[in-house]
Amino acid sequence: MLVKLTPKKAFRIPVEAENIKPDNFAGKGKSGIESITVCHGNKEVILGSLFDVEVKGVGNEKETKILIDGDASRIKRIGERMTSGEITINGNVDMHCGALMSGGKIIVNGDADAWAGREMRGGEIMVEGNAGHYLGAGYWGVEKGLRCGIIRVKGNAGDYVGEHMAGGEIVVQGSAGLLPGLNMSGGKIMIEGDAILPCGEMKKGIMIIKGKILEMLPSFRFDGTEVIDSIELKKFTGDLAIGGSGTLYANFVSEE
Amino acid sequence: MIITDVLCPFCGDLCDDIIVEVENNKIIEVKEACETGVSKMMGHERIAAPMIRENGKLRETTYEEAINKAAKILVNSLRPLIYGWGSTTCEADEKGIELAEKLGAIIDNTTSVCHAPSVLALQNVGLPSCTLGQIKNRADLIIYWGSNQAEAHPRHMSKYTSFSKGLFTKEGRKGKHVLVFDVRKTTTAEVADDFIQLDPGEDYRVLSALRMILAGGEDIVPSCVGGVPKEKLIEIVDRMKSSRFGVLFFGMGLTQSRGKPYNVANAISLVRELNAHTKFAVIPMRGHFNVTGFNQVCAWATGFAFAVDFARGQPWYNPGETSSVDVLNRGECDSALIIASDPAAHFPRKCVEHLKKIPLIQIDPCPGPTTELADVVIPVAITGIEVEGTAYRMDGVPLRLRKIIEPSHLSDEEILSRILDKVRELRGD
Repeated sequence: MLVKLTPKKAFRIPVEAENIKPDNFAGKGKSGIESITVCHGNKEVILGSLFDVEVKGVGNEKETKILIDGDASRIKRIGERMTSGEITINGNVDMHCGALMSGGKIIVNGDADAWAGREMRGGEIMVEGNAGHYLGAGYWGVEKGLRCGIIRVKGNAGDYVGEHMAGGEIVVQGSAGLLPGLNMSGGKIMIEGDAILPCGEMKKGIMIIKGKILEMLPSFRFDGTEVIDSIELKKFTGDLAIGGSGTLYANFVSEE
Repeated sequence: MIITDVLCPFCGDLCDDIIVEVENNKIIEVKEACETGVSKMMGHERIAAPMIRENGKLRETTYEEAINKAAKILVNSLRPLIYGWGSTTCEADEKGIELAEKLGAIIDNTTSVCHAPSVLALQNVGLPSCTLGQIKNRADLIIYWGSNQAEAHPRHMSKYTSFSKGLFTKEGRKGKHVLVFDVRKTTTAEVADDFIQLDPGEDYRVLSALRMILAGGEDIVPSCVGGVPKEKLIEIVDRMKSSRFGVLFFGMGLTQSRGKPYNVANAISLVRELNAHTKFAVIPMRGHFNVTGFNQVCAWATGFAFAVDFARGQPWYNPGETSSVDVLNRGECDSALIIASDPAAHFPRKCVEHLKKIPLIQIDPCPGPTTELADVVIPVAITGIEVEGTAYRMDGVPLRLRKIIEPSHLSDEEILSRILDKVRELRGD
């Protein structure tokens, strides 16, 4: 079952669309999907008033693929809490894309704004462009960010990648911003480019930085070198300021 | 007439020992307050009457017409923003939150651009704190981090910290050690015992180094962190551990530099860990006299301290998404009500440009840059001088603001009540 949503216009006031997910679309026809509600500002509206809806075939949530054909840079929460199926966004996407999802796949053929994959419990997010701040992080005060599943970003990621992450995997093919892996307690983050002050207050988990650590925290112990993916990387343990036992690998640490 | 024990409605210290002389309903002299407090209480240019912008120009009108127009703007908005609340009473805050809920608006206060990172940090790590009175009576180690209170809170040091004398601090300044961490030698640093100059943006790293040393891992710490030699950091940790009662005050130098909430969380965690060795407390240096009060009222009314979005009916809070600067920067909101604050003077240019584009309502006693952009201007009485009410000091102690003279205008609370009534009427509730 394939559902194509084409935005009728570019939105300035964001649309909150946690209802756009295969779990809600499965088994429904065109009119059924058009009558699903989303929020636009402080008004509840139906999907059909904001999007042109095309439906091909029928199927359960696992077999449901949603295509958002256009700019979704003001559409928040797409795929929030989804459990299976697939969503493709042909453009940029707004905050909380794939937040709390536990299965299925989201492909963003553009940039993803902040909090993509927030507190994700399973499934996969693939961002072809850049990701914003708090990729795979936790909501304020929440103890666990990303728990399970994988997030891949082809471009760069913003600050606080994997903040409070407890499991799963994040791969950033470009560089990350400030304090990636902050408070992480499990899982693995791979940054192929550079990063600033990685792994602050890290308890457990693995961070691999194939590029440079541009600035390093003063609370990590150098523990020799190890070969990972056929590159010899420096190994550090920390964050010792909190008695952490996380592992940080890096190719190069910039001298002050 | 001489009135004693007046509260000063200016900064977060909320001094409660001001003496005011009043003659013919006019304040003619203010004693004990700092220069800024005196200036505020003696009075400034006021907005005379309500105004509405027509053909690009403000024209005077009645309260009724201005309130009706404000209510119409708000009712017809998909994403209204209600912002300000730095200098008004908790009673007005309460009405504002009710209005925001009714409208499905975002309500946010000046915390958003000052101590928001402090609120976020304490959600993660708590806040081992105390009152200013306890500090006056007990503290022998005073630390100011990224805070120049000699200029921002002029009486802070004489009333509560460096120069004050209390029950167990009878020696005053002699018995206290004052440490200042900052990126430049401020007026506060000049009267400190020790000034530690940090490289800009290095707060997080220096705090991590202090925690590392405190945890017994000084061997790991490099010879210099963030511009501070390791020996100095070790000396500071020793001094912290050997104090009887230490306190860390932090300002926007910590909250608004690189790493924002995580700087604060790191500082709070350091203080928490110091409590294994001695008594230590931490207090954010809050700016406006009742910015803390809004956080209190908003937290008990909605569960969140600021930046609350009522668009979906129930409150949703996510600074970075629902905070004023962010919604204005993205051009999201389609109207704004500004009360007891002047964002056109302080917000980033792009935000101010968006404020200019949308219908803007201002509620304030005095004209300012926001007045120049406003479509509806509603003058009010000055809280703490012409209106009484509740305000929270920076340490979370609620105090009663007093009415010194009779007002010439309606209060914030009254205006908000009337807007709320009109909104209900327009929506047929």
